[in-house]
Amino acid sequence: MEPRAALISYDAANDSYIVHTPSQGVNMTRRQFAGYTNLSEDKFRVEVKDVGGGFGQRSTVYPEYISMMIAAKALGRPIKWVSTRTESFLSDTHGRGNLITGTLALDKDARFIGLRIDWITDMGAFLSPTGPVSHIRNPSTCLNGVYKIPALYGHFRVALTNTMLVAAYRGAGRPDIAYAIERLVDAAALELKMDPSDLRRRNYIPANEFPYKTATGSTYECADLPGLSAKALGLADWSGFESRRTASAKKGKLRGIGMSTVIEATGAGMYPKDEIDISVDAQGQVTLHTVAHSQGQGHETSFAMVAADALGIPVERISIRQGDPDKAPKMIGNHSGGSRSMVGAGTVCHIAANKLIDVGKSLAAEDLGVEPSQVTYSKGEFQAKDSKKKISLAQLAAKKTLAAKGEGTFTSTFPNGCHIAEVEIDPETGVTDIASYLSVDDCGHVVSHTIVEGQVHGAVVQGMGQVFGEHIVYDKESGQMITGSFSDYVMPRAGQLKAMQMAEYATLSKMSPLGIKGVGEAGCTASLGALVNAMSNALGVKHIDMPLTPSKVWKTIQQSKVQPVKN
Amino acid sequence: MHTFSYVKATSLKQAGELLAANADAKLLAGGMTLIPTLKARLAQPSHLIDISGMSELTGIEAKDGKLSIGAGTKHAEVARSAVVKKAIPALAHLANQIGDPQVRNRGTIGGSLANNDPAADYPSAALALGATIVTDKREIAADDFFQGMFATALDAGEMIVKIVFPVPMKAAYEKFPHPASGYAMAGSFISQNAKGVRVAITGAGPGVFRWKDAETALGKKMNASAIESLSVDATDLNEDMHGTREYRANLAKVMTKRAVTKIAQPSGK
Repeated sequence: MEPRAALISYDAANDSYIVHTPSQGVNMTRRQFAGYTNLSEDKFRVEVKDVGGGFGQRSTVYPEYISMMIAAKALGRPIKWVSTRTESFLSDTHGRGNLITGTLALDKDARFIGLRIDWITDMGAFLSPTGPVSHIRNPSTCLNGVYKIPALYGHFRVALTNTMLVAAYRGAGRPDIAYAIERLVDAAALELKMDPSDLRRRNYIPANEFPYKTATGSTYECADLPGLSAKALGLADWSGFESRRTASAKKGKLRGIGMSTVIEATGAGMYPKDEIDISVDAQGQVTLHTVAHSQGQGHETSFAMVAADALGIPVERISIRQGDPDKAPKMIGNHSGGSRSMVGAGTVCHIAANKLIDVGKSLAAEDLGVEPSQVTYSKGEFQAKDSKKKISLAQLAAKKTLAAKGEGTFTSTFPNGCHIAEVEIDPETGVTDIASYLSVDDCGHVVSHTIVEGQVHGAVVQGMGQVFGEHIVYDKESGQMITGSFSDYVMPRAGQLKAMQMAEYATLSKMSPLGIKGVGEAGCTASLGALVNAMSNALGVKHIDMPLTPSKVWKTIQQSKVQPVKN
Repeated sequence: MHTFSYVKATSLKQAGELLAANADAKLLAGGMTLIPTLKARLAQPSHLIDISGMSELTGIEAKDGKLSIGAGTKHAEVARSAVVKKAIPALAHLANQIGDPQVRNRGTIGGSLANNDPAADYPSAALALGATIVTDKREIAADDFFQGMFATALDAGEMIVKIVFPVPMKAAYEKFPHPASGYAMAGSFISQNAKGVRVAITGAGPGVFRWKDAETALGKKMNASAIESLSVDATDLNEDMHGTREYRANLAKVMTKRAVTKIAQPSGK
């Protein structure tokens, strides 16, 4: 991820500020600047270009920017700052600083009857804009996971300490609660000597009970959890695991398998609606403006695909402009975060394109000399039903202003998935090899399979990073950060996840016309549980806390005396 | 980075004079340790005397049972060298495990040995092979050269010119890379010649050291089972968030066993 950077200048004539910085959305950034400075939003012109990674860390206006504003005004000169890697470690918001304790109650038939979660988040020295919501509201919306649990109890606390702030980080509390639940389920299966997939199947919310209202008040819209997980178990050859365990044991390796079935709430935003401005120029090039801001999710491609599909024209004729500093302040819409952009802004690309067709029909009717109701549209051309006279988008746009504004308001969608991991551990060194990884995700209608696979793959690797090494550590005595460089902070490496299989199992959301559910964080939400469950299975222990470094895994093997099982 | 004067030296003599004249000057070879140190403002030299590419410090030669490598030879050059691969393939293998391609294309063997990072790879080869460190003033045996963390027998202003390795009958190197930095958490270099076996462990302790119990056992029988009952004394080993000293002691043994298995293969490579 690129280090944080900003260039801020003061416009004395207008007593305003011009801010260049990576961000997940210009309007949210302007709102935060205004909030911190007591200036109005129109005093900030925010220019955001390509952003090299967001993950929640680019959804915050940081104190450095405010000090740069003061300096820019005092000196009358633009102020530029590019953080070093170490400064990024020290001053970018951190993630996942949770201590979670859970208890799962089952009846004699192994049906879940109650879940209790006690949760403390280290918020750092003060509260970040996204910290409390990510670690209290988000986990409580899916507190029962994918299971029918009649009684839920959650005790959420935040602690202020002397570290950097903990804020939203890819999944923002959903991976954490999903992990806690999926670990509890595996621990229960181990105690009951049940196959974890059987225990899950017995407790999934049945497909015919959706929409399902949870004990904490969420309404899960749609899912087919038994069908989804059956597909995953089949693709992963869950039932054939023992022979693979034996094969690994013959090589002296400990093999484990783990699954994780999760659901999460995505897509709701903090702005009342998402707007897209769409216009056509005289060359027939269609431009859509959005305030959602891609940080590598490929909105430039997927939004364009939606619009091209609605307009029936080649995708090359569509341009996506995000966060235009002249247009954005006049538009309403959410930033990109919380797996919401495809559900919100993406869907509105469809709505806006259809609205453009309606506007175009009226304009074309005048030109073609017929009533608007007598105009049809197909593949970039308006045609009079009777006379067969035609006018193209480009011809119409050359004569008249051809533009429209689409909008839509969407509540949460509930993507879900079942991931299955197999690991192979070298007991001499504690080094883990991920032998296989399978994901089956229900993210509703898929616009671009390539992009969805990229999102899932990236998020699974991010989860893998958390499972096997990523950890911010401060020295207990001095308070100095120990992991202030890549010499000590363990980043996941590309070679760690060699074999990944991805599949889809869609149930379409009715929340929006395209049936999309969010997907950007799904891989994080599911992978923590799948991988740690596989590790616990391999090690024969009920629980082991992340990060599972080779050193910790080796020590666990020393203590548990687990041996490779040769059947 | 603090400011400094940069001088490109054209000869060892000139570099030596510049070092003598400037107490706070530093030699710059590949810069793979020095430059990050400067960037972190952990050092403030008055001058950087660039000795990279100097002809007096280059060259790889095998003659009379000895492999000689110029101090300015880059890791990638050692890894690729047909002469090294023929004489001591384990040394070429070691060089190919250092850092990443960028580091291997800049870092030098002389720089690595002079720095004596406790987690560097080369010190284990120099010590296990019983190398001689040839400086502009004298010859130093590897047994005397390494003096603990970042400390060597080099005097102020003394420069390594080349390293001379006696060619062993067999040798092998196995390393466990640190999960974050890739440096050796533990690396074990084993060499066997007519005089016996030498085992040098790097990464695990505050400096490279010989594991003499293993040398004795392996001298009797070059087989991993010969050291199964032995253990590396963990008392003085390194400990950090990535591993306890017990873990490092275990890794040193496991890497030694794996090096032994490699050495015991018919090819000895």
